[in-house]
Amino acid sequence: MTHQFKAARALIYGPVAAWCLGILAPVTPIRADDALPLETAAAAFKPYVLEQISRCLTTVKGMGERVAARDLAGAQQSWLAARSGWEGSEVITNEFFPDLDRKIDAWPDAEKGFHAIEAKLFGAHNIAVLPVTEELIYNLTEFERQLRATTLTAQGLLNGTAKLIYEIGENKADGGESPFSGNSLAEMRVNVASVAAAYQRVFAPLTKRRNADLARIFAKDLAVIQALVSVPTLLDLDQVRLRDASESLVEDLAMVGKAAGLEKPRLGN
Amino acid sequence: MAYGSLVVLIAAMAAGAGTAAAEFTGTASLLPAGTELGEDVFEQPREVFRSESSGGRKSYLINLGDIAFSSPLILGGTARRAGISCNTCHINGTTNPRLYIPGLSTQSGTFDTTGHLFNPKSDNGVLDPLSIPSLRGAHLLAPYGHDGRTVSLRDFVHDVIVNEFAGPEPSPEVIGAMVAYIEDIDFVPNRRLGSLGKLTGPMSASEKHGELLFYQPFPRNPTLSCAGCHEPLEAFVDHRQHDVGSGGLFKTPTLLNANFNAPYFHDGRYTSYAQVVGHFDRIFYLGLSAEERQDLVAYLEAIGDGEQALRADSIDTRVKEISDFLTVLDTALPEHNVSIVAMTLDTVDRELRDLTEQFPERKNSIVTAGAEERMRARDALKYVVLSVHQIGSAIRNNDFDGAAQALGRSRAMLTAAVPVLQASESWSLFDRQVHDSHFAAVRRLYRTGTDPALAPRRRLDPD
Repeated sequence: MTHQFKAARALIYGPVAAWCLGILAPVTPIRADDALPLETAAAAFKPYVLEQISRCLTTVKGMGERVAARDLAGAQQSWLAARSGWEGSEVITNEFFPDLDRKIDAWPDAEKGFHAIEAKLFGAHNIAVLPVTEELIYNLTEFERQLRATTLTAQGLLNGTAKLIYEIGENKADGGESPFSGNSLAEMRVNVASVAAAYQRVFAPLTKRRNADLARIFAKDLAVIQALVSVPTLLDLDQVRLRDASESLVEDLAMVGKAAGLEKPRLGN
Repeated sequence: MAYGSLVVLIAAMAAGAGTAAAEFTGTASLLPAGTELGEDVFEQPREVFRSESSGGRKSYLINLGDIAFSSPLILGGTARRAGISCNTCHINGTTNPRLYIPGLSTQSGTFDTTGHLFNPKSDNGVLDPLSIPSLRGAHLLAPYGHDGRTVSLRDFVHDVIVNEFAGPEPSPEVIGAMVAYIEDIDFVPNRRLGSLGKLTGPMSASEKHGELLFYQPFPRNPTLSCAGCHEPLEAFVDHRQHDVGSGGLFKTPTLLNANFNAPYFHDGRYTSYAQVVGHFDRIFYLGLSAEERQDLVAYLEAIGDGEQALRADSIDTRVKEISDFLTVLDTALPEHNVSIVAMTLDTVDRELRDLTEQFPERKNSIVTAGAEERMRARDALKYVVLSVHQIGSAIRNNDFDGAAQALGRSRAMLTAAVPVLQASESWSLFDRQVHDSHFAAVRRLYRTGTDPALAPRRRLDPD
């Protein structure tokens, strides 16, 4: 980190903790000329996540066919491909659709959702997952339907993105979210890509206009995380640096939200 | 999400499947498949500190030692990367009867300190695990190591860090602090034991007779008795090594709080007092009747007890520990002691994140009630984490005043979080029913994900 960069960061971060504590006055009301573009940008982010979910749903349907054909390797491949779509939508899943998130990505659950299927396909090498796959298809279909009917808000996207960034910093030494398939690192990379997409498409334009230093810091901290997850295997992850980087990026995002006139992100998931 | 809350690490099994799965993975876990670290235990060993028992408080050094004891950063190689710390094996400075690492354990509660996994340079090529000793009362129990090879606790701790766990050379301050911490860990009080090491108060006939037998000379060698080595006035040790049919010289273990120290013997070969008494009866031709064996067991259970030696994990205990850890910064920040600050922040961050996971997230399929309360608890703790992180950010900017201010904010946020956490306690893993349901579900999931053909095999514990 250059001295200039550090100084800029210090200036920006001075008030953030007090703001998080609610010590400072309420955030500046959003200016009329910015309000529409920000919310419009948030709403316009929907096709990105819709594409992820649609891809996920299509792939899970294909997985159902592979399961029906008792093709274990094919079903495993489909599961992995489907996870990419699901993880690419996680900036909104918990925040906007918590009940469906709980059915689709339940943990710990040996009966329903992605991880019940993962445990059987990859851990037990057992192809008997047709009922749970059909239930997953049903829930993803419902997710897609509800998503089409939902307007994504800037505050909701700020919350969802912040939660996801924080989660990326969780310890993965035990195998991470998808331990049976060994897919956790790939999922983290997709998470990071979706964070980048949410920021670039929704928040970056306003941030660059209002606080160019913050935009630079965010870009730099995001690049750090991207580099950290670009390792060959989960075992190569530098957990300490990743945790630190994720916390820095959550702080950045909190400031991005503040610059945009939003409330501090809700991190409880 | 701390997905590995129950560390039954079976993930790596997919790698060895010999099916198409092999191409997907590589090894997904740093520790061998089948590893258990016992993190799902509801009741935790109670910590009793000599400094606090005497009406004082834990010093900077003791708290720093506790931090180092809980920090993977003082270790190296696999341990550091896997998040293993001294506390993983010695939970709250005691033992870990559930710990099992395939290739390094022959049964739960044992561990080979000269295996390949944690330091290839110390690998002696033999699977010779030792039972994990409790450190309660360590200041009274020199020499150290099962074989009593080291007189100095400081040297022993150094050996564990550098040689057994491939850690970097620890600073004198850190190693001194760890010694201070270990020496502050006291036995849990046992009111049944009088000041002369004799049972006191009401006792059963069996316990009373067991005590007599304990002092009685062995029939074939009257110079020996149980009490001859387990000297009641010396914390039931004699500070010497003996071969009691154990296959070598090993030091006399204390019997204080020993009810909580199974498995027994240096190699953990026995899981019960009955087995231990049976061993001595056999090796020393004691000629004990079944009733006498039972009496000795009753006596051992009486003197090996401890008040609330185990108790439910709680929000208060966790918050107090984190608060104690933060006190180290009151000294380290003004001294600009960056390495100590860094280790403290790392440990506090881990502890806070672990505490957060005690409040199951909304997509937990087992815990349905109290979703809003749990979300608030998680939110509050994550903001404490961020606040602590800002201490580190300030340090990186060489802004120690800013760091001190961030420390103040962290404390305020932690204090403010407590009622939020308490409001969610009924739906957290601090509630026994929630805890048990959650971990039963985790176990079900891992059982579902186990290929019987690839399941790690465990040597059966001796009967």
